[in-house]
Amino acid sequence: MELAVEMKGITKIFPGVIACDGVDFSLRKGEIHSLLGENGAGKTTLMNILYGLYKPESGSIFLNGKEVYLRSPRDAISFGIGMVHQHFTLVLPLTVVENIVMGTKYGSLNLVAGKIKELADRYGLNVDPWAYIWQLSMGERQRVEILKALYRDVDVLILDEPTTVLTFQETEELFSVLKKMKSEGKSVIFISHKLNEVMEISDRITVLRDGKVINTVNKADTSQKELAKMMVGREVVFRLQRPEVRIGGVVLELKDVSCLNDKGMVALKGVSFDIREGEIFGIAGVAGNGQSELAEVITGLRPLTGGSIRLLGEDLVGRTPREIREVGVSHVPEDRMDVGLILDMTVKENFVSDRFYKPPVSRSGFLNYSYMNELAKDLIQQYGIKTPGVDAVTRILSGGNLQKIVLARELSSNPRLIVAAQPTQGLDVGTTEYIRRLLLEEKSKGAAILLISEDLEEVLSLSDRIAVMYEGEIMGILDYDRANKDIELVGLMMAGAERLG
Amino acid sequence: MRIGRLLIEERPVPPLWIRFVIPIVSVLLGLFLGSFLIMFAKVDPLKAYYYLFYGAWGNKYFITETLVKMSPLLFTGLAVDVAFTAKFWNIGMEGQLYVGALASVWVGLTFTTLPSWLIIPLALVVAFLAGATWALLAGFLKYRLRANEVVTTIMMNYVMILLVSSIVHGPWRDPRTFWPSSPIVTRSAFLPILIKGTRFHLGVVIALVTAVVVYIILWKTTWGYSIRAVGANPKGANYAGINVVRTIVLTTMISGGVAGLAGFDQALGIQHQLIENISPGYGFMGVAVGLLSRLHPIGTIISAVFFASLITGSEMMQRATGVPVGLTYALQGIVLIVLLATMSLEKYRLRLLKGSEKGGGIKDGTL
Repeated sequence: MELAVEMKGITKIFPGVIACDGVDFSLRKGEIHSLLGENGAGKTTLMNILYGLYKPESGSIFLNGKEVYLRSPRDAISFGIGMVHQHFTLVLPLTVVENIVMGTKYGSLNLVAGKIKELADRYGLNVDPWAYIWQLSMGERQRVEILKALYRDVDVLILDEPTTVLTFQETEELFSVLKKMKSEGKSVIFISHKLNEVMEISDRITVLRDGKVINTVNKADTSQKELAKMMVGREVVFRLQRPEVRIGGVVLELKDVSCLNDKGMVALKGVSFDIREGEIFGIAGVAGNGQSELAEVITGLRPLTGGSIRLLGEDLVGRTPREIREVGVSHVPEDRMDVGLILDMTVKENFVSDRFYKPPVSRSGFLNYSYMNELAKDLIQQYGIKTPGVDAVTRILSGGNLQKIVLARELSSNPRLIVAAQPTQGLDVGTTEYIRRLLLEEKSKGAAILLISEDLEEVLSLSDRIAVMYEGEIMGILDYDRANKDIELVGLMMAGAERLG
Repeated sequence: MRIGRLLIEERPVPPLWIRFVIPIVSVLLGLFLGSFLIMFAKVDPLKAYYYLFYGAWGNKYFITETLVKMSPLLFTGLAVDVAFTAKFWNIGMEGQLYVGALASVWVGLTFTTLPSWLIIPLALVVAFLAGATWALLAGFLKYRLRANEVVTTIMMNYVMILLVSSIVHGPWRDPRTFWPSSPIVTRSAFLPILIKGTRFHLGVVIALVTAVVVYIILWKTTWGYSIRAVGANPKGANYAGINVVRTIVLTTMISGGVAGLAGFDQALGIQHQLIENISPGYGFMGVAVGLLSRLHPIGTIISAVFFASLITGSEMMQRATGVPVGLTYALQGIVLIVLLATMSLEKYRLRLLKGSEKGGGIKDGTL
């Protein structure tokens, strides 16, 4: 079969991480080819290279058998490659037509609108050409993005996690559009981590993990189970020794907790679990399945739409973030740059952002700078934070040191419950191990820890119990032994293909 | 962005020196660009600037006049420091000044039996509260109705200016005067003159003390910590447990209150009555004053002195060289534009690309 795209030995290095490591990938004409893998596996990076957004360190790209060098998306489009990003690139105050013609030469908008209508009818992409983007639902906006590519006459369409913003109905509609494109000889690359969708739509599937291709298989020759194993199964690297800790009484108790996400869609559906003293309770799952919202409802940053949250018997619902902190909750947020720290303030100011209003930092309303200096010096030494000094602006520190500041502050308040969201994301091996050790130390001290991580190995190796989240629900709770023995089951639950009774 | 082989790239760490250098450079560059305007008036720029300086600092009288003009600018500049630090874009200092003037004249006309040491502090407090309340309305509109504070505070300026105008034309009109104005306030409410034979009054000292107080609030208290944290990162502040809305309310009140003191200063220090146009735009100039000092209260003193010097010096410049006073407004504008333009240099730097970093091309095939 003729190849539309062939990528050979693609390597892309970002500071501190190899996003793609000698990746080979090929796309046949008229096929739907899925790229499957966890977050950070390198799927999007690989496609951004094909779309001309990134330049690879090495490797070559062939389109229709000819080697090309793509400098920008403009080059890619001229070779017939279109891409719909996960975050749409539409201009909200403009109309559909205006968005579609942007960057092209066109005559009358009316003629363009006619052509769009024609394309829309042909592929079943129903959308009003004269509507403003801000008026459209996420599903409709995606159709505009696809129309944008079709209008540019692409032969290869890349869709990056297209179904995350769609309802079930819209997903079905999208799939019929893709099948229609396929029947006309166009090729589609479908990036996803949802096994059922991949199995429904693909002809072939390439599984990526840690920037490497694990395998490329025909849909007919594989199963969800096999794919899950390829996606998450990994050689167990060095594992930290989990200390023997006596598990005490219940610290945190969630009952039927529900909430909405920022877009007003249901993010948590009836989540219930409890965490005990000295216990690490892990949440595994692919990003965007409600984990972020879970951390936010517990710490008071997001309102509940139902259910109850109790900490040591006290009701937390309706309390402010400060009141919840006062009860003994610490929070290591997943976004350390925008949430966990105030980057334009100094290091010593960031150490006290949770406690500046009370003694000993506050002396009748005045900041006690000598205490702040002492505290900062102590924490910098204790946690091995590399900074030019206590008065340095926090922004200049590296990612690992930023996270150490967050942890130093959050752990130094002697919390009863620690909500740790993606505590080691994007950090180097050494810092990652250090932070995991810190969490285990807190466990030994009797703190209850909610560990939310996309890094499955992290959750599996540290947690006493593991809950798997999928689309705002807990698919089941496994203990350490069962989860580590049956990693495929965890993979299936993460992909929504299995639920425990 | 790249122009040829010149790359404009973000600075990883803006160095500290640049925070001091940029305002100075922009003042000098502004004066340099202004000299072209002066040349249009067929005057030697050096001569014009000499008289500009002489008119502001040439003798004791000029110096005190400059300081008297500095005082309202300092108040409104400090109001900007507070509000902008929390990223609350208060452009309503002019209206807050007017309401402060209105309030202090009310005190001066009502409590006529009080001695100076009581009536002046009373007027100060009432003016502060009046400005604070007026500014708070904009804060309320922002958080209840999501109205942009830039728009509301600007519009509220005109509401208050016209309200004051209608008061001095109507209910408070002093029938004995030709120009619409209120009666003169009681003598005990006059801010005392501190240097005989000049207009150097107590308000100047109060302005300087206020600068120190604002500095202490912003940088030494837990309030200031909240204000700075909310301004720098509202999400991060909320996460840490700071009540963002309450902090903004506090900020608007301090900012509006300090701007209200500018009205107190003008009403009881200079005019001793309420008149139309009690401020020639000190409230608007406060934005420039605050920004030039990079929102640092102590730096705001220097920046207010600079703008006051332009105002007082320009009269001498006009008399001696014929360059119109209006030019100083152009100068103020130029300095501000240059400042805003150069401020972005803090975040970026220029770099010449090396040969190996050149962009690529298509290996095979053409476009």
